[in-house]
Amino acid sequence: MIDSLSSEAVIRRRTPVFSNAVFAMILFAFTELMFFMALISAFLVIQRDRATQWDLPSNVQLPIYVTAVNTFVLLLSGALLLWALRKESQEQRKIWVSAAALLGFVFVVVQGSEWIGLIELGMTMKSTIFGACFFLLVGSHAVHAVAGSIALLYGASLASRGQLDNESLKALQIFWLLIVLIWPVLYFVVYF
Amino acid sequence: MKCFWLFLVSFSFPAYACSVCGFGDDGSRWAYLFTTGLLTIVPLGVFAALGFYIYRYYHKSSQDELG
Repeated sequence: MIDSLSSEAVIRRRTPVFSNAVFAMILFAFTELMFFMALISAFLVIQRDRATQWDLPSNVQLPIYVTAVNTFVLLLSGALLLWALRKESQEQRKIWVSAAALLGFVFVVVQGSEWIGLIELGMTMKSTIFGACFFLLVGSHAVHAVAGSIALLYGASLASRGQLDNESLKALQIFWLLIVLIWPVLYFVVYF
Repeated sequence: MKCFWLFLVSFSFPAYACSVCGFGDDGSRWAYLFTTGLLTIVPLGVFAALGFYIYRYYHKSSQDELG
């Protein structure tokens, strides 16, 4: 009796804290976090150096208000994905994950249209140091947002086939929440 | 040994081979030090948070076994 109890305890103790998918995503998200931190560091050091020609072209104004609304859209997308884990039914999960993906794509499209406006006004990666830093930082985030939105669509397709388990959804959440939560920091650093 | 470290810290000066210390002004030097501190603290914070989460997980599971 005691033996069977202790063996049960051992089995329970050996239950992993994270699944492989979640642990791998935590490691990946950590490296991505450090990547963005390094970019922010480079941005701030170059920005604060008075010797740098940091000014924007005179006719260019950054779209602060549109980006603020877009930031809200991205945060809403993260909230929808968090909400998806509370849903047990695959049909419900498909709806919430699809909505999160849709908002992710809306964010990317609005960002893209802002960039086109800025490029038309003459702000490119080659025009000023600010332009180079701006497009590098915001562009890196946009690449991640596109990849994350595609991953969310894949998650929604898994849910439509009834295959989106809790662990896969958690892994998706970790990646997407990194993208969502790093953006307000980038917005504050770059736009103000 | 302590006196040696105290001496070393007291008489430190900027390394002019470093692009920030050598040519950067105060603003850029401040940003460099601030973000270097941040880049040092964040990984330690992440590992500490993971360690704490694992500790809590096993502590809770052993409490459940006893209870």
